Amino acid sequence: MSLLSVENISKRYANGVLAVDDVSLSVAPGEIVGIVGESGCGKSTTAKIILKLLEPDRGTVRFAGHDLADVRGRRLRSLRARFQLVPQSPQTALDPRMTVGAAIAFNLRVHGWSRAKIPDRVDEMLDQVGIAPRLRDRYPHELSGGQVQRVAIARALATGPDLLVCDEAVSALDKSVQAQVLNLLARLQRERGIAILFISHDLGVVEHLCDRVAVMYLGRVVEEGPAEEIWARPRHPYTQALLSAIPGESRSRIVLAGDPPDPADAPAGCAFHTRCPRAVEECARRRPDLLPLAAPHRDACALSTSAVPV
Amino acid sequence: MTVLPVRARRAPAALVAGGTLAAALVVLAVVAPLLPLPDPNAGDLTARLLPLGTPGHPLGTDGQGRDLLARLVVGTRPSLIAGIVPVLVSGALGTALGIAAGMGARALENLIMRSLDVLFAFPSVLLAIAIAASLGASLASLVVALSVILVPAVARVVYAETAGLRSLDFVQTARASGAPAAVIALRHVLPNVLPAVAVYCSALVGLSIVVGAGLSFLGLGVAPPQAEWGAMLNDLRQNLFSNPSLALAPAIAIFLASAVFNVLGEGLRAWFDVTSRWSQ
Amino acid sequence: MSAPEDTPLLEIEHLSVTFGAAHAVRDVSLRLDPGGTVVVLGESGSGKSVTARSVLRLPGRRASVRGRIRLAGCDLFALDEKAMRQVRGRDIGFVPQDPNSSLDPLRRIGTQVEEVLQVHGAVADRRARRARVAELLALVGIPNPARTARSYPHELSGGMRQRVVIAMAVACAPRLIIADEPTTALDVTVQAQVLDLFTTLQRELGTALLLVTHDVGVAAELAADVVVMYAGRIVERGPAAAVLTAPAHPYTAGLLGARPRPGLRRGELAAIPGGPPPATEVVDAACAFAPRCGRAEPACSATAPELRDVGPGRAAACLLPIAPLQEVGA
Repeated sequence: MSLLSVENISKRYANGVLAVDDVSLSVAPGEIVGIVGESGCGKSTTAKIILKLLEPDRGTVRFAGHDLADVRGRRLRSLRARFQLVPQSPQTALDPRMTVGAAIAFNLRVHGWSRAKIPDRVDEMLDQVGIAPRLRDRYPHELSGGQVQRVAIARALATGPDLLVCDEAVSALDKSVQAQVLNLLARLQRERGIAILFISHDLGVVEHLCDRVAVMYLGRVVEEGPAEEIWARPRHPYTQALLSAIPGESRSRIVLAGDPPDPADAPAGCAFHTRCPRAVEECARRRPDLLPLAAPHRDACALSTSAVPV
Repeated sequence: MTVLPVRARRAPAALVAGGTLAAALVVLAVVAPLLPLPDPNAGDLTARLLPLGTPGHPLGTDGQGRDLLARLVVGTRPSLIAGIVPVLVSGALGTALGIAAGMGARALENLIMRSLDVLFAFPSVLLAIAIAASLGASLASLVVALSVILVPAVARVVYAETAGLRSLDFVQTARASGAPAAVIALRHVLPNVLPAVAVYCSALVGLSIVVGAGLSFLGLGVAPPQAEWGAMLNDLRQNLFSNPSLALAPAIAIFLASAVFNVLGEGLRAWFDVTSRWSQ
Repeated sequence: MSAPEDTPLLEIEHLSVTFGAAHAVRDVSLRLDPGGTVVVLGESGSGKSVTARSVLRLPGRRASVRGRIRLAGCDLFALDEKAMRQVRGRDIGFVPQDPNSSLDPLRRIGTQVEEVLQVHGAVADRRARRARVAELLALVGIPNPARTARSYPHELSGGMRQRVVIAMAVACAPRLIIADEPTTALDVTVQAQVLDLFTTLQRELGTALLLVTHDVGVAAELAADVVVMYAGRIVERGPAAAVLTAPAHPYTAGLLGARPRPGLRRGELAAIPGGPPPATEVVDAACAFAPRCGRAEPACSATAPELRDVGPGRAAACLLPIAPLQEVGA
């Protein structure tokens, strides 16, 4: 059974923007799944819906079999202990007025840990993420960005979750520090069997860390499949263009026409057709489904063919 | 990281200066009755309107022959009370309302902010006058009137800060982890909002002293013959053209007290800024 | 690279910048030829941004600057502020990182580009100026230039805003463009477009480019000369193709090794342990990277390494450079 199962969620903001449009995905226990896309693609909104920070207009989110829409109050809180968020910015991931130890302790208190047991747990978590426990009385501004992100991970681990939702958790870090944190996440998955939903705009990082990847564009999933597959043999024209745009990569550049369209004014039919180098007439009329249905590697393109040679 | 730990920071000059002077004023207000000064309410009609520098009356006497220095010193207490108490009351109330509006459901937010808008719509000094007048002239009604007019201002500042904090990662993470809104408000929002409130309120003390003095000047504050800086200005008003220098004493006292608290506010701003901001 | 007898366009000589007790830039020297491209590569705290901004004499508040910077032979530090203001914008164009904050949100973008022309007296006649603005916007690839000129910044996407900023930078046809992380805040597809734009503009206008970045891929993409900075010093320099495939300095190798690459098993990124030293730590008598270097020997903590030649057109500041030069990933 999937640990996390997202089925056909959609969300339109009050200003008319359809941020998430019929998105489905799943995360198996111990699996690392990536959501990748550029700004405005809806990946952050999807994360917020999964974390129940936002309610979807339609669709279901199931965690460990429980439909999150049906869970409330104390039951919801105890369920939340099992899926935790690691946020993006080291500047704001921790309360600047709380010490590192207090930040972790706070999360434990919310989930009913007794005060007697908390200090040991805090030290244990700090140790797990490679931070010397004596740093527990430091404030966030006294730590480096990498250290802050580790503390954020420690805070998330404290309640013993089955799933970590990392929303651009390494994007604001220097590359050498990023590597340390990525290694940490990989180790946590290997040693504790924690599943990770990893949201990022960086395809290289996602390919490295994740088992499976979903590529989003304008609120829709346009391709999903095993990470290695998508990297080596991307099928959807957007994925191909995205991979070719990575600076320093050796693929031949596919230049996309124009800028991403205004999300409040999404194109009819296939969301990507206005910029797609291979668009045909049908693309403006019909919205393509993710196909083939049961296959591990699916894409939403009417002209789906084998990938452009890398 | 080369930043010193929060606890060990050296206090900024403005904080030390402002804090010391404000403390000195408060001490003065408390010990005033014990000081060896002439009776502030004892008038000697043969010694009316003596000028500055008269032996025995260094700041002169008012229209009823009362020593101005004594009245000034004794008047410190009601003047400071009019300055500090309304700020403390409106600070607490405004903070609570601002956080509730910022963190609560849309309906609560609207209820609070729109009600405050109504209060805000009245010119504050006129509103204070109306409240003080209807409650009868006294120090207590002065404090109530000033508290009322300051609440919307504090609440607005706190609301704006809260709204900004709400979208920050650590608040979102706490929500995502199931922390109840009240707990988030108390443990995350309040400590992060307090610096702005403290700074803003220090500046409000100066304002409150001035407006309180103004209301007393109009006869709506302390009842005569109680000494209070604004009331003293009122008394000396009739003699403003013949003996203008006598009015300088209470006027300067009002100005200085206001300035001291503004400096304290600046010091608090500098103090909070460095510890809470990221520095490389 | 150009032939050695050409006069360099930009010469930075022994530049040192301190902010109080913090040494942001230590003894940095570099050269840029007319029309050439140099990428300054480094992580946060390496001093790369301060170096670039020092060329504009805008290193930051309370900066204490030593050294010499010459633009086409003219000593920039000897100029008075008024003369330097003329250099900025006219002889040197600047493209900063964040397109959201580099444009005035309250004014139309056409007006902002026009202002550059006005300040430098490049075009006297108003109508001619407007026409030039439209030309510039077209040059940077903005569709419908005349109409877009009347837009406000918030009506444009991040990529478009960055193009406008680039238009402002090249408005007076400067000989040098300094770009401080110009693509970091942009989506990757837009990044690619902007990098292409730089290359095109260089080709058409003959402008030299000094680009600061933390992204190895960007350096590789521009295929220029690359200068790697660490803890305020230059640790390696040379043609990008050579340096980024066969680095000589262990830090460069570490930086390259830390990138996630296909084929690398998960959890085995060669992360450089620890972190860079704080800027207040003076390490003049040792190699700043030694504490984190897997190849360090006692000598490394006793002597500060000088930049020495390690190959054709290549130099590294290391007592034990990596040799023979080996490939580090692709």
